[in-house]
Amino acid sequence: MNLTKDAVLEIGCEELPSSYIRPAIDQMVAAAEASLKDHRITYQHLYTYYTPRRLTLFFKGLPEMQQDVNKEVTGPLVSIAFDEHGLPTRAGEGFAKAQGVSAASLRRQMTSKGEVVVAIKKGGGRLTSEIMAEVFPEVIKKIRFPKVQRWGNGTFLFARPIRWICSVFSRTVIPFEIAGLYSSRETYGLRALKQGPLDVVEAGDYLEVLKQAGVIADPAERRNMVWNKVQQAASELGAVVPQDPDLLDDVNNLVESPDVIMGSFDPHYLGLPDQVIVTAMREHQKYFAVRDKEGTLLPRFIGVINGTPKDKQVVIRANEGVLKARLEDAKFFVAEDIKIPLEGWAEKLSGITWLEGMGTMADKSIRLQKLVKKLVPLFGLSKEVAKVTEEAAGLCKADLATNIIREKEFNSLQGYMGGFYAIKEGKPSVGEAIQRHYWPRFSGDKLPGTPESAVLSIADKLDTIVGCFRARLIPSGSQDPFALRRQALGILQILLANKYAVSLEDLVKTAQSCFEGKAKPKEKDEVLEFLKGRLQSVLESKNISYDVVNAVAATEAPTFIDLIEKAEAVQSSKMEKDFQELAIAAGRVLRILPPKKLKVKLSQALLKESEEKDLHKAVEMVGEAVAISLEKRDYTDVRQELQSLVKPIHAFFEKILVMDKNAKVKNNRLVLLQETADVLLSLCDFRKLVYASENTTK
Amino acid sequence: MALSFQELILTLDQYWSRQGCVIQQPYDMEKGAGTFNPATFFRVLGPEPYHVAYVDPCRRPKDGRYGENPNRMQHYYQYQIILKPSPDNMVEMYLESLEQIGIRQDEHDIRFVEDDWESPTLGASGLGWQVWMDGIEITQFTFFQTTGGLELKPVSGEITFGLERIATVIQGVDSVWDLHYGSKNITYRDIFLQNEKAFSAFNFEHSNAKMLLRHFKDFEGEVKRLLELKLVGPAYDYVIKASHTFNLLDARGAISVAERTNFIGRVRAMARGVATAYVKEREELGFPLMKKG
Repeated sequence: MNLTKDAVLEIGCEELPSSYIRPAIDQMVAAAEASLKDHRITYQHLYTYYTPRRLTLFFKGLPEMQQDVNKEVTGPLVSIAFDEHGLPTRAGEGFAKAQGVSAASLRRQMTSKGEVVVAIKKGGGRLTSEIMAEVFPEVIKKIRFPKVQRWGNGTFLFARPIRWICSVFSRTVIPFEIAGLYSSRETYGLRALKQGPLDVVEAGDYLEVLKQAGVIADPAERRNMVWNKVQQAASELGAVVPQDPDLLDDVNNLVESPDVIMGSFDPHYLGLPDQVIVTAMREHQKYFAVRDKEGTLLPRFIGVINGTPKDKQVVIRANEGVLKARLEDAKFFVAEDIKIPLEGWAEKLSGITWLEGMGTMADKSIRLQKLVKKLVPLFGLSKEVAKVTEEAAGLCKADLATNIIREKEFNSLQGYMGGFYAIKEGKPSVGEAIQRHYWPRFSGDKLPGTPESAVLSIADKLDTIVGCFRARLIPSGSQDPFALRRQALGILQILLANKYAVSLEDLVKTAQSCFEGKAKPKEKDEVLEFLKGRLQSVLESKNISYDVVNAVAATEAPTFIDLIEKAEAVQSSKMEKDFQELAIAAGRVLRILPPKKLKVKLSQALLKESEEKDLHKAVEMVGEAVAISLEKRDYTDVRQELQSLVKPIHAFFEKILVMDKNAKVKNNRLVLLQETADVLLSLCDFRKLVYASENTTK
Repeated sequence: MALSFQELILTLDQYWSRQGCVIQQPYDMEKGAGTFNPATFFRVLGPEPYHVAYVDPCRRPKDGRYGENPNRMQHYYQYQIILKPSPDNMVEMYLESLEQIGIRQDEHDIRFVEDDWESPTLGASGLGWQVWMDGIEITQFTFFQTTGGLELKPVSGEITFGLERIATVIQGVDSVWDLHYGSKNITYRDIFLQNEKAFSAFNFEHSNAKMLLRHFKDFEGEVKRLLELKLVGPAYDYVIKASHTFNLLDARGAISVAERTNFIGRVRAMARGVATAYVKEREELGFPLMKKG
């Protein structure tokens, strides 16, 4: 096929929110790819271009016409498709319609199932541009945004008003109407240049037409331009700008024609903590921070602007004024904050609500102090650690009352500022624990590291999770406003990294004991289940499959670390032949047992058949050996010992009918199986292991 | 020579007048934003087209700083433009208005930064932008989607300037108090500073919370009574009064965080009742402005 034509679809809008742009483009690509494939149109490549004012698909190497088809599709039996008069039934009509043919054109064909109808589909011969005129409006309609609006007299919904549609195939307009607009070959350049509409004569010229009008529509090209200009501005000073891909992406989606400005601020503001200055520059104004080769912050900033103004100095001065006001605010806040010690701010926490109906931040601080006191010995840590951690626990939330953190702009510095103030007061280790106690703050973030901060971080997260469960603020589906899942994962990651051998159940109970009032009976299990639910993510990093996680998590383990080791023991042998046999045998035992435990004692006298006696003997022996291995926490041994149960289990099921007519005998057999199960479950719940072949044998 | 404060207003009036706007005068009641003016609140409702521009004084009791802050006051002026339905070239019209007052696109970095606007008391919301000039926020630009809890059809475009902010930018002064007002050497300070101090003290220290609470209840009752009499305009006046009374109470610290939501909800309910009654009244009148296109 001759793939020589290009096509462009550009949605021209008023400035879109920067975070909406990429997801919209991805949706356009998905919708266009699927539709064109349905229409049998192939192309060499699909490029995407975007700026705040345009979302563009560019197809390289298209055929003039769609590919022809000539195929037969078998349908229902003739007796179903036609009635006794030979007229098409609804089923017959439906099938024909779905295939895009008339019922009258259906042929008949004899098959092993009987006589069926066959649709002969002949298609093709349509122009690519004609098909695109149908596909493109659908592509636009399918874009979903977090928030949408109407404009003018229209009812069409989009993130911001659509102002033009430029849609060209080779040299001709792909005509369609959407949102009260007709597509055309017209596009628009940079606002500041005030040029009228520009013609895209040939689709392949698209990027060049825009470039002439000041717009760099290719995001990769624009991103490089921004970064090069930023680097160049820095190097003129002999300085460096540290990599910041998130900020770079952000500013890249805010401009069509990037240029940079370099401004400065009064060096006396460098007395503020670095993070404060960087936050003031980055969060709101989107400036890059500038450092010297040693990494020391310089009193400079680099801003990315849209278009090149006549006199950059005017723009620089105004930007410097804005930054100055922000730094002045920050300086004022910090000066006010250090007028009283951190302890003084901590006292003010009684005025800040933690969760509706769950007390104040002061209550939380008191609980954290109690909790870390109990956790330190549980983790086997020293008294020195306890002292620092307890002090940090009482102060870690204090910065929430300070001026700087109460300011929305600097809110992201919580923890950091509290720690900064503590260090300033001459408490470096307490300060460090405070600064790190929110870590990890996002997936992939660093872990607290030091024992003091690790304990405090676990305590804080645990307290939040238990508190939220008590207030019934439990995550469901995609709703997790307090990020409890992330916090639960954080707890597990820290436990694992620090090898704190503690049972999750003990952790939950300890956290509960620090709350006032009684917990609902179910609460402990709910929280425990919730924590275990995060195991998957932790174990994924150790290449342990989900079924092994489920199988292990369903059983008792003295500590979280044991759980991991069990999982590793199971994972490493799961595919071995021996182990698979064990899993089959264990499955037979576990599946026959009633969900409720029988409260009957095993009677030796009732064991009559030799297979029963043999199994009983084996269970007693293996049980003892397993108990010793469990004591030593050697789960590879446990797994090997269980192997001796395989033969007696199979022998038992081959000869013995569990459901004996005599209820006493029946129950005794169930109790025997229950004892067998108890031994098996000391490793994992074998029923939850998934083997590929099960799909077919089910 | 940069525009004085009063020339700024005159220039905007002339420009928007040329764009076909009715130039209305301020509404004679205390309100927190130009949106409260009936020329916006009522006119954006229903199907009738309307283009209007006006200056409106705004009172935000909580924002008082005793005249000590260079750009934060409890009393300031907004310039408000409503174009209904929002025309296709509204952004270009706005950019042209900036040029008229001396802010040229080829001299400045002008940016439309996403901002979703909401007035919980008026039950109003829309999508749009904060407009930044060289990093400074100078305008709120909104496509109204709802007002008084009613979905708007057609959509109105709203442009709101903080006049003092934009004047400081144009005149290149750091503090609003240093603004050249217009006549001779009269500055903004000469006209407003003493009042700003007095009202800051009143709002934060001396307003009569007990009386205000009583008034709030009275005003709420009055809205109900007037709506029953189908006196829509007067009923709305009492919504404005209730809203300002709430703002005064809030500044005085007389309302707890939990109560706050409740008060806002009560004002919103009043606004909704009035909005619905207004649309009904216009309908009964046969939407007179429809004929004037």
